[in-house]
This record gives sequence, structure tokens and C-alpha cells, in this order.
Amino acid sequence: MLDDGQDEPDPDYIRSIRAGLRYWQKKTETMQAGQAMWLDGQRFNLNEAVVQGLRYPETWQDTALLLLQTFDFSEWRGYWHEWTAVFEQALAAAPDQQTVVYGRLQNRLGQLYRLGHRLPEAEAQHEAALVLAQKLANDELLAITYNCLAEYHLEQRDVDQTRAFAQAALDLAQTRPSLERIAAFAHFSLGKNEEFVGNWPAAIDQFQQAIQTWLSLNNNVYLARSWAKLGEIYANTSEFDLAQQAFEEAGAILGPTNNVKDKALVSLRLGVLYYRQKKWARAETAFLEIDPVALREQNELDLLATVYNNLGNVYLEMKRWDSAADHLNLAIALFRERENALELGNSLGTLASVYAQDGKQEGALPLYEEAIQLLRQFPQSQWAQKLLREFGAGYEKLREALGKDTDKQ
Amino acid sequence: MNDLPENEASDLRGAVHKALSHWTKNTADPGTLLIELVAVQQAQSELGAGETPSMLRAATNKVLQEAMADLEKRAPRVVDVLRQRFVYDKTLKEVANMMNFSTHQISRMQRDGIEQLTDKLLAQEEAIGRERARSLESVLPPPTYTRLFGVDELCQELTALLATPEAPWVVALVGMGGLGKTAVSDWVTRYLLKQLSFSHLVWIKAGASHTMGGQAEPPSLTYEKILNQLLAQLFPGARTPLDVADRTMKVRQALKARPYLVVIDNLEAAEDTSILLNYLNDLAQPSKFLLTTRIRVAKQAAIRDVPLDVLSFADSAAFMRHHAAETGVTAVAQATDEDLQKVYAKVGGNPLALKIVVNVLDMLPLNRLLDGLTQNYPTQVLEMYMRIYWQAWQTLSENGRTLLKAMPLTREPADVDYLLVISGLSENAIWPAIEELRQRSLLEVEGDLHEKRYGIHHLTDTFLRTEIIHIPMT
Repeated sequence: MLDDGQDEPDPDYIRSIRAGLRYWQKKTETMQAGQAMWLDGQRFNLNEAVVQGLRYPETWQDTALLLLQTFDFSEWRGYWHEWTAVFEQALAAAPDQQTVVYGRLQNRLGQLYRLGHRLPEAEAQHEAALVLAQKLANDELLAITYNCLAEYHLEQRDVDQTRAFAQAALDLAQTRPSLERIAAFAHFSLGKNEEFVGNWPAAIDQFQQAIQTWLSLNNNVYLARSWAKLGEIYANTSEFDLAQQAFEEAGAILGPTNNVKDKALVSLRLGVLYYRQKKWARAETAFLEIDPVALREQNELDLLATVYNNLGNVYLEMKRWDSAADHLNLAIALFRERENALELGNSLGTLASVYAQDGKQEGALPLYEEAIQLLRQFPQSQWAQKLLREFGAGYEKLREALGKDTDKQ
Repeated sequence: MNDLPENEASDLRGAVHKALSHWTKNTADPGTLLIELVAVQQAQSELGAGETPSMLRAATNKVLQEAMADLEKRAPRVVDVLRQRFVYDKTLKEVANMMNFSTHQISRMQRDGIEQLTDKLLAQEEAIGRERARSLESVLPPPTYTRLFGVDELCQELTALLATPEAPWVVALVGMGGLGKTAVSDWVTRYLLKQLSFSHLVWIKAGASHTMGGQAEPPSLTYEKILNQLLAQLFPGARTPLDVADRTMKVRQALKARPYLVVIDNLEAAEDTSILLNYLNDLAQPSKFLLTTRIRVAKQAAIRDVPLDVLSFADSAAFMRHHAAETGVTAVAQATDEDLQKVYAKVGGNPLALKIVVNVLDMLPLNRLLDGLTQNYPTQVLEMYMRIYWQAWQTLSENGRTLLKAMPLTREPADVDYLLVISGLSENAIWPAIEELRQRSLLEVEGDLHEKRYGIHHLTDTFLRTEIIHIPMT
């Protein structure tokens, strides 16, 4: 007896899927970093339960809830690129598109698109979720969606929209204790927004509030992220001891985890801290602590490019021109691929500085020009303006030295 | 005595004589140094010896000195002759006068001494080889077979291809599922380790090359994953270079410095395998790669694909009897050739299929089994498999079926807790079910004393999905 043309799934198998989903739901109920490490070794079986669960209407709801519950795990461990297609499948297979769960999935898919740098698709998902949340008049979904839109606009460097959505999320979240988690995310988004415009006291205030909330929620990974961001602000304000303390807090929390990306971010910031203190060798060591293999495997190309960029800057200070150029070129290739204009402008301008100091002035000019052009797209960014001033001055000086007219820019 | 052919032993005798004759000379002529001996290579590394003539000489002399000291316990006179002649650089005549023998006698004692010294060195080489093979074998997963059938020539071909210090540098063992590619690779690897063909070994289990969404991964990503596994095994705990090119260089340097055997089991790069193989070829020489794959490899220089075929009738019959004896299926162990020929005509010579059939015959009479396999072999291989699985399925207990039906949810071998959950069986019911499926070759068990995990072969998975559960394949 071979294929009898029957395509109804076996009811026992449906029961097995349901039992499997319940097993994973229970195992991921209170997702913590330690649990994520355990889950890492089992993830293919978790994935299979999800993939099978999405096939059948009777297991869709359980699967969708499991997907939402394990989202943190996939994001922390960098499996988000694998999960994008699964969330798309989940939405396509939804038996009812007018539910809170559907809206939450839309927001998560939007978040995955953002991680994959698919911004128009991300915006569409969040906007659709917003319409649904308003229609369902569901405060939780509304607050989540506001915060997602804040994060989206933050990535677009749209300061006003970011502030408006994050504040709306915060206002709503503060009305209910069950939405504390969203409040913490909103503080985090607001902090990053203030950081972007260089409003350090406001940024510190927001990150400290995020820290307090994560502490009360006992969520270590997001707590570590908030500490790390706070450290970054202290580093920007040259409060190096406070910055170091904040990074150490973050590092201690992340130490026992296998959150590659978060650990990389802490090492990166620590490296930047040493860089600001002109401790070049220590900065180099901190940057080299980062595991590039894992970052590449997790498709964290922006972060990897930043590591290259920062190493390039360290080598520039060490006057190791060839190493500096090699690393900056790696960063440029990645930022270009990722269409990350602000960071690309920075790396290009830095490479121009390397060439200018290494006696390769002709090679430096077009790099400065491209960098300046890119950085002009960000009038609201204090950092972009600072870079523009630096690179602009370098460019003018170089043109003068080469005896060229200065009206080109 | 050693197992080396006489001409190899006599070659070594000549080399030992030459090495002794150059005891006091600092020449880098490799013909005067016993650098092919593993003991000398070890001494070289213990002494921290570089490639300078004096250091290479020191390593060779150290090994000879130790062998002479050992030999001295039972043959002090010949060793004395060797020392006087070579260490103290005396002529035959001087030694003869000193020891009150004729030059002819001293010459004979010298010849005996060199012969005994050579035997000692050979025995030592064998012991080192056994020890090294034991230590390298610990890298390998435990073998899944007790004996191999019908692959003698193939194993010879593979060992010859891999042992020769020239192209091909990448050898791909190609064949469909269930033919025993992993078992053959395991045997070949263990054999080569015992023969000291490779001083280092890396064994990588490749596995799925599809993402969760079902998309095939590009060969560059498969290569990067392999590269990362190589790095982790070659430089455990070391800092990983930032750039892929740097990582490639680091792995390349290690694989170029010493002859590693790198086995990549179960490579399933569906997209453009030739690109991947070219990457690997670039890392090889003197190291070699042995891959197992279900996908045929495009013809390329320095890369060889070796097909693993189904077993002949004679080998199939021997295999069935062996497996039957091992698993206690006496009816098959004592079956006539005629009966087994009937099975072979229906099933063909795929070892996994034959194993399942043998286990089914523990429950079903032969004619019933044969009736179920309506078409004669060769037919569509997958279809044949499905028929065999159907036969096996029908012999299973209710609990066995319940457990097996849940197994497609295990993309990777899972522990018994998960099996309990997805099967819905009780603790009392699951162990007999596990044992039943294992005996029928339908469940694979892996792990150690402390932890066991259970999974299914991909052909079993295909059968369950298409025939039993009716879910599309991913």
C-alpha cells in the first residue's frame, strides 16, 4: 500500500504537535538568559514543532503564542533571520486576522524586517498593527505598536516621530502595571533618541528609568542592554569611571550567557571608552575580544562593520596605516551593503584621514567628498555634524595642500 | 616482530646504518636522518628542534641512543660495537683490536646490531602508532557497525587515494541514504590512523544546510560554517580572526603545516557543491578531505568522487546473516541462499533496507513479506524503501507505532522526556517501544552512559511523513 491520495494529517500526529508545543511553551514560560542557553541545544526540535504547528489550523494558536513567547530567544541568539520566513508563514496561515495575537505577530515580523534592514516592509507591518490595535481598542497591542513605531523611526533617524511614538507608548504603558515591560522599552527608545540629538542628561535619565524597570521585572538581558547604553552616554560625557562601572555591570550580567551580540556590544563600548581615553592598545584588545564568526553567522553585519571601523580608528591613532586602511575598507564594504549612510560616511571620512596622513592624498579626496555628501543627510544628528566639521576641515586642508579650488563642495 | 613487508624493513635497516654512520656529522641530508620515523618527529618537537641540521641530527641521535640503551639490556656486546663504531667514530680495525675480535667478527656483530636496532625501532613505531591511533580515535563518534560487507575494494580505493601524498586532495564518498557512507568513512579513517598516514584528525558532522524557513543555504555559508568548526577544533579556545579571509588563512596554515585528515560527514550542500569543494581544495595539501554526501560531485581536478554502490547478492546475504545473528533473528541467520535471493530480488543491496527487512522477518513469514514487496528490484529506490517500511510498520506494536509516528517532530535526536511528551506514552510503555523500534532499525540511539538521545534516519522520516502522517516534506 503506497500513497492512497489521502492528505488529511494523522490525528495522532496533531496531538503530538500540540503536546510538543505545550512542552516548549512550558520550557520557555519565563525566558531568561540561562534558559536561552539550554534552549540553544534544543532549538532544532523547537523549530520543528513550530514549523509543523503552523501547518494546521487546530495548532495555529498554540504555535503563534509559542512564537511570541520565544521571540526574545531568537533575537538574543541571533536566529532572527531564520525566523522571518516563519513569522510570514504564521501570518499567512492565521485563521483569523482580526485578533490581538495577529497584531502582535505583525509587530514581531516588523521587528524582524527591521533587523534584516527591510524598512519599508517593517513600517507596513507596524502600521497595519496600529490600525488593528485601534480597531480592537486593545491598549496592550496599541502600546506595543507605538513602541515598535518609535523604534522604526529611531532607525530612520526621525527624532520627532520617535519621540512622539515612544512617549505615546510610555503614557499608555504607565496606566497599567501589566504593561511595565513596554514602559521599559519606551524609556530605552527615548534614551536612544536623546542620545542621537546629544541631549545627554535626558538620555541618562531615560536609561536609568529603563534600568529600574528591568530590575523590577528581573529581566537580565534587557537590563544589561540598558546598563551598556548608559555607559555609552557616560563615555560621551567623558565620565569615564561611571562609564566603566556601567559596562562592568552589563558585562557581569552577560558573562554567564551565550548572547554573542550583547557581549560584543559591551566589548565594543568598552573599546570605545579606552579609545576616548587614548588607551589605544587596550581599545584594540577590547575590540579583538569580539567573536566575528558568531556575528557573521548571526548576520549582525552592522555590528561587525562597526568593529572593523573602530579597529580602523585605533590603528589610525597607532599610525599603523595599512592595518587601519584594511579594517576601514572592510567596514565600508559592509556599511555600503547595509545601506547604512551615517556609519558609511564616518568610515569613508576616517579612511580619507588615513590616506591623507599616509601620503596618499589623491586617494583621500573622493573619500572625503562621498563622506561629506552622506553626512549632510543627517542635520539633526550632533555626531554627524561633528564629523562633518572634522572631515570638512580635513578636506579643505587637503585641497589647499594639493593646490585645488575649494568651491567643489 | 613487526608486520612490515621485508623490503620496508630492509629499507629501514639501510637508513639506520646511514644515520649511525653520520652520528657525528652535521649534515642536513634527509637520507642520513631518520625523519620519517614518528619517534624522531616527536623527539624533534620535544627538543624544540627547528629545521637546522644540528637539531635534526640531535633528534635522530636521541632516538637511536634510546633504542641502543634499550637493546643493551639483552645484547650488550653488539651495542658496544655500535657505540664504538659510530658514536666514538672508530674504524672496524680499532674496535676489533680494542675488543679482541677479528674485523670480520666485528663487522658481523655490527650487522646484527643494526638489524636488532632496526627491529626495535620498528616495534617502537608500531607502539607509537597504536597509541596515536587510540588517541586520535577518541575524536571519532563510536562506530555504528561491527563489520562491513562488500566494501573491501572501495575501502582499499579510498585508503589508497587518501594515503598517497598527492592529488586528489578532496575525496567525496557519494551515495544515497542508507548505504553506509558514514560507516565506510569511519572504517577508512580508523585504518589510516593505524597506518600513521595522518598525524592529525578532524571529524566534522555537517548536517542540515537549510534554514528554518526551508531555504537552501549558499555554499559560501556552508563553507564558513565548516571553516568555523575547523577553527574550533584546530585552535580550541584561541581567539578567532575577524575576517573570513584571515580565518581561511589560519586554517590553511594549520592544514598546510601538517597532514591532517579532515572528514566532513553528511555534507548536504544542495547548491553548487563544486564551489564548496574548490574552497576545501584550497585548504588541502598535504592535508586531505574525505566527505560523505548524497549529491554527486562535478568532475574537477584534484577532487575525486567515489560512488558507494549497493551490495552484491553474496554480500547482501552475508550481511543479512550477520545482522540476523547479531540481533537474534535465527530464521534469517539460518536461511538458505535461495530464500535470501528472493529477498534480494525484491529489496536490492541497500544495507539499511536489508537490516529493516531482517528485523521484519523476525515477525513476518518470508512469503508474506515478499508479497508485500510486489515489484521486483530494481524499481524506484525510494518506492522500494517505502514498501519495506510498510512491511516493518505492520509488524509494530501499537506503542511502537505511536512513538514512531511522533518522531518526525524530532529534527535532531531528542531525550526521552521529549519523546514521552510528544508520543503521549507512559514511562512504562515508552521503554519497550524504544527497544522495539531500535531492534527494527527504525530508531537510532546516540549518547553516552549518562545521556541518551533518540532520532530517526531521514528515510524513516520520509516514510512517516509521506505514508503515515501525510505531511509535505520540508
